[in-house]
Amino acid sequence: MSARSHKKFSFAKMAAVAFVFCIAILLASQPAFASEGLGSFSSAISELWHSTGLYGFTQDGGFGKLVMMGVSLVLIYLAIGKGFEPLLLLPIGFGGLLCNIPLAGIAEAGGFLRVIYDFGINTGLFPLLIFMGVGAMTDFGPLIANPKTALLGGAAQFGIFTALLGAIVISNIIPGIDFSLKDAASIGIIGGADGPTAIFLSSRLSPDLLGSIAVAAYSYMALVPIIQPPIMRALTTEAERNIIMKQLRPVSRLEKIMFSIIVLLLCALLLPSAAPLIGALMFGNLAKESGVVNRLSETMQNALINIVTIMLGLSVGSKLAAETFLSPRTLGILFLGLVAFSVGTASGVLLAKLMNKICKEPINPLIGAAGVSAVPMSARIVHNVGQKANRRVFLLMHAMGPNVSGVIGSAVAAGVLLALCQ
Amino acid sequence: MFLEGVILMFAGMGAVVLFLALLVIVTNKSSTLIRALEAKMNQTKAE
Repeated sequence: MSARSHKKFSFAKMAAVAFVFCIAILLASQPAFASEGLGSFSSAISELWHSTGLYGFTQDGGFGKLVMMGVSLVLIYLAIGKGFEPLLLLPIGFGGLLCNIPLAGIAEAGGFLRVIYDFGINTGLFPLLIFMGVGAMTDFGPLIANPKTALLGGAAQFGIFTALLGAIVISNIIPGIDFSLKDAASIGIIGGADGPTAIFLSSRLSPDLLGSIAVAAYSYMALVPIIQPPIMRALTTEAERNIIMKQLRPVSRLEKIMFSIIVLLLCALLLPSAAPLIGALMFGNLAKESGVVNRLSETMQNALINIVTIMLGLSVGSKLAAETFLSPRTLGILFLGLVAFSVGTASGVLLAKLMNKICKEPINPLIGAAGVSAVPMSARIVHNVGQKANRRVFLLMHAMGPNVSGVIGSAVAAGVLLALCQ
Repeated sequence: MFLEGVILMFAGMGAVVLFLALLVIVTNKSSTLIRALEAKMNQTKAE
């Protein structure tokens, strides 16, 4: 296009804009237009301004929404930039952004995040579907080969109850923080290091704290490589870290099939309130181990868990609303979550030390730290710490025993809390 | 409320430990039985 024709085109465009503007002013000043409900041009502009996000941010709570958008962006950064639990922190972060858009009402009644939340979290469905997928991905072989390591998964749940008591104590001493017993139970379950269990329990007992609890649980699970090693090293001697454990025996398919049925029966007999979580976990595992429904097992391991993860993450993110998240209670939850993880790790290691003294076969105390679920990351951390002590120490499979028993243990703990607090 | 928390702690830890201890016992016993059964079946097949 030549310079002359370009100039001509720009002039035509400006003239068109001016014409449309004049028509708009004329229309806006007509009484007929006023009767349609928009009043005058200035009131139309005013209404347009009132429907913008910029106006929403200047209203009450607008600053809080901006802060929460910043928090959500930090979560997205941690997921993308640092690779911290990206599968959950990314949708949670984005859900947080969406629910804090002023005037959009995405997380309010009728909004799509609210619809997903009501359908999947209020009913407790999503955590159960996730557990099904986790069951289909879990190999209980190391636990069956060395069942006594299940006790380490139990010891690590001590963190849950320490945080529960901690929540009650800080409610009494810090003004502005007032956790009920149900809130304390929901906060304590962060120590189970099991996201779906934490979401399941807190959606039942303290829906208002769900956002903070889920963010704390997943953030600390992502920080396991930073939180656990110093505690493991502080509680063990060089000689203990050097202990080489006996290789695990192979486990037959029939044993694995029977295990899932035994766990479910035990749960049905002793603690039916934990049956939804344990049942979903064991169904997924049975589908995998039976070997006759590979299509179902693969769907649970891939498509199902992926779809549910997207919806779970977004709907948990929708609970990152400024009015509930920006309070001293959130700081309390983050602090107690750290306490729960640390105490859980320490109790697992201490019980493993004791078992090493009592049992005939040597037990490397490091594997006790894997009792705080966080499958399989904490087992990997145990293995790495063992390898740093001695290249001939291979703890991965030994740590998987307490690791998967931690999943069962935290589900049982959630069942107990649900039965006693609801 | 603190007392309730303490009771919850003992009840909860007790239930978790009891459940997992039973699991250890039952898994041990069932594994022994299953392995004995499998060994017997293999022996019968070989004969």
